[in-house]
Amino acid sequence: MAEREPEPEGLFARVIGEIEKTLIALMLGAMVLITTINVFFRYTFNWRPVNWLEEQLAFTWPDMLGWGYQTSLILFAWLVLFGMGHAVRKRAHLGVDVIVNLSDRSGRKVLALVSVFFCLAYAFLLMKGSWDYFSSFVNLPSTTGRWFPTGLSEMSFRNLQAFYTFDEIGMPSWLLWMEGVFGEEYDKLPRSVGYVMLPIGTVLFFGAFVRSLLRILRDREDRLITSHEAEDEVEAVSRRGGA
Amino acid sequence: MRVAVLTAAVAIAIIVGFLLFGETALAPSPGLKVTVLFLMVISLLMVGVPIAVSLGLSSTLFLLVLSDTSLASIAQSLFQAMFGHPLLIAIPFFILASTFMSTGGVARRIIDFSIACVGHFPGGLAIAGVFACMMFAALSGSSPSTVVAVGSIVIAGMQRVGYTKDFAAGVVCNAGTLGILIPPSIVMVVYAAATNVSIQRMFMAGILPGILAGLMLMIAIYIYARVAKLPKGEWEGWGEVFDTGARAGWGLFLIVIILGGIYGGIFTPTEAAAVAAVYAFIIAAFVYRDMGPLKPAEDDPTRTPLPLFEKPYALATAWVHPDTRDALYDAGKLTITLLFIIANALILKHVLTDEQIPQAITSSILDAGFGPLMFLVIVNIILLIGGQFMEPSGLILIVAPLIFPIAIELGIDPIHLGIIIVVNMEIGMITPPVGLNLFVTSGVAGMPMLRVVRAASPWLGLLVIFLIVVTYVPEISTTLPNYFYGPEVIVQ
Repeated sequence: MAEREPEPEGLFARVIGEIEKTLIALMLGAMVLITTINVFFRYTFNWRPVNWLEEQLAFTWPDMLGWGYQTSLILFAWLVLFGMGHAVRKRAHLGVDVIVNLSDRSGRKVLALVSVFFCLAYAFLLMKGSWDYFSSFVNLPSTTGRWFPTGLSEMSFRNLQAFYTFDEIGMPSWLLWMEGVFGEEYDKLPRSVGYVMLPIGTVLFFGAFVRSLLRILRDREDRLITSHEAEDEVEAVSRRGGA
Repeated sequence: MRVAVLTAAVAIAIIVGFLLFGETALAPSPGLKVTVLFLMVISLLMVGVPIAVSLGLSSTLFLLVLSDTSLASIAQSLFQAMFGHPLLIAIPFFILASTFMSTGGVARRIIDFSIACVGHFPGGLAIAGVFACMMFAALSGSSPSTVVAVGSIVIAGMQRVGYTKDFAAGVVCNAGTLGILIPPSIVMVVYAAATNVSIQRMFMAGILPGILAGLMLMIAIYIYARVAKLPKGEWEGWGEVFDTGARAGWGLFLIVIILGGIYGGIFTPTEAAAVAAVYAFIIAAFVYRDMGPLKPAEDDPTRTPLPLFEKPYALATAWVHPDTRDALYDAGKLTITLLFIIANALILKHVLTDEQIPQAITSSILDAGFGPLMFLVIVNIILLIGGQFMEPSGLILIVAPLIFPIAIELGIDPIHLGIIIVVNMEIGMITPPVGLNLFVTSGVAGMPMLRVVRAASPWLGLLVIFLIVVTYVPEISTTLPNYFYGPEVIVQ
């Protein structure tokens, strides 16, 4: 297994790291709670005491079946897209380290540099793809070029898709400013709100690999991967004095 | 140095060669195209590129060179991998439930209960270890977490009463693989998502084989213990069984919530997973109090948790306590890495379906005249080899669509196929060089890899026998689901 150096992190990196941790926790927590509360409302909306209360107090029992379901799925996609860069920085992505472990220090550096190059290439392609996909939902031009962004496309009906919405989720009032920006009337949540995590996530993903590249060049890190998902837990057990 | 440079050079050569000549050289032959695609994936993996990026980059290059697909649609499928697969959202929920349950307390109580039940047999502590693994497997969906939770306590305990460390590690390493066979199981969720088999049936199908595998292990330990005269514990009486059972009961009730909820028709599997996660949190924070505002003070030697009435505001603060955030974050991080692999494996799956590879493989296998059994042996070999490189869920997403249509053609029950795949994954986890459970056990027991491999190998033989039994006797897998849901209807 790879020996891990203690992380010498600056204040800025620590603060950002904490914010990211909290956001990841919040997204997962919200997914779980929304799904659970959904079950609760599904079982109670037809319940006689509830119906009686509804009549007496003249209100409707919240029905979140549709929007709860879609919202938790959006959060699910956000969690992964937002977190993929964070996982690079925490070296949590799984990989095969057989050859890496067979190599000596300089060999590992060669391998790490080559693999970070491939990762940067992938992240770059994803960044372009994400912008191309996202841009049309905010009425902005996408980029031309198949591999590299060679310029901005002509505006056409293809780039004017801001009217697309998620069919189940209502429009929250604090996002109504979007109506003015795009000149649409939204009674449902615009698709762009969901898709915005694509460009954000891929940029963070690319940035995380740039950081890895710098760290590899400075010999702070010799690989991008961890060999198995339980590495942290196992480390915690051996820290407690082992089995 | 030489190995490293050679590996890197091969990967670069394959990719550059593909970019330069792929379009002209490969266009006529679908078989060749896919071979090159898999060569790209494997060469990238060997360099040390993350699995997810290896899958995604290879597929993206392939699509850009050989098809009309744009980068925008690849980004779209990345989003759709999560948004468009409502079944997969059960994975983070199961991971979270298992994270809350993995706090030392639950495993400890389950182990105490197991020892009270079966500790008095010859080799009792080892049998209890297997029993505890089975119960923990029913709470969590993954094998490594089962090994960590149970192994970190049981291996030390077994050594204390006079077992060898090798025996202890070998037993736990094997019993831990039950984590993916006994429902709930993350691997089964992925199989169901990849093949549109009902997840309820899949979970149901895992129960009988899971119990059978556990019993086989226990009987083997019993026989070995009689021969080798291993120490046995004292029978503490039914009182002890009920006492420990009641203490473990809060944790074990999770099984009732998940399985009872799904089969009672109360929850969908996704909802059951979410409710299980919330329940596990409440148990961990308010009943067992191993985490959160009510956990015992650091300086308290008796480690008694605080009663709720001393800190009633804990009812509110537990939800935002740092421990809760950390558990959510840990589960979230694991979710991110697993799902990112799955999302990229889905892109690769699209490539394979676009190229009509499943059909090509199906016809070539059928033309070669393989019967069902020969086919299943081939599947076993593919999975064992693939398991050396790939994370199980990613492997299933890629392999399942390839072999599923053939299995249907050959009249193999899809549920049966799923169980065979899962058992294969179990074996892959304890097969050197890259068995996941071997790594975890070696870390937890503080033993070198080679020693764990040797310690686990006799039990590996047992699991192989189990695989043969499960392969030849489909009834083990299909009886329960067919009894409860009626015969499987195959929709193509």
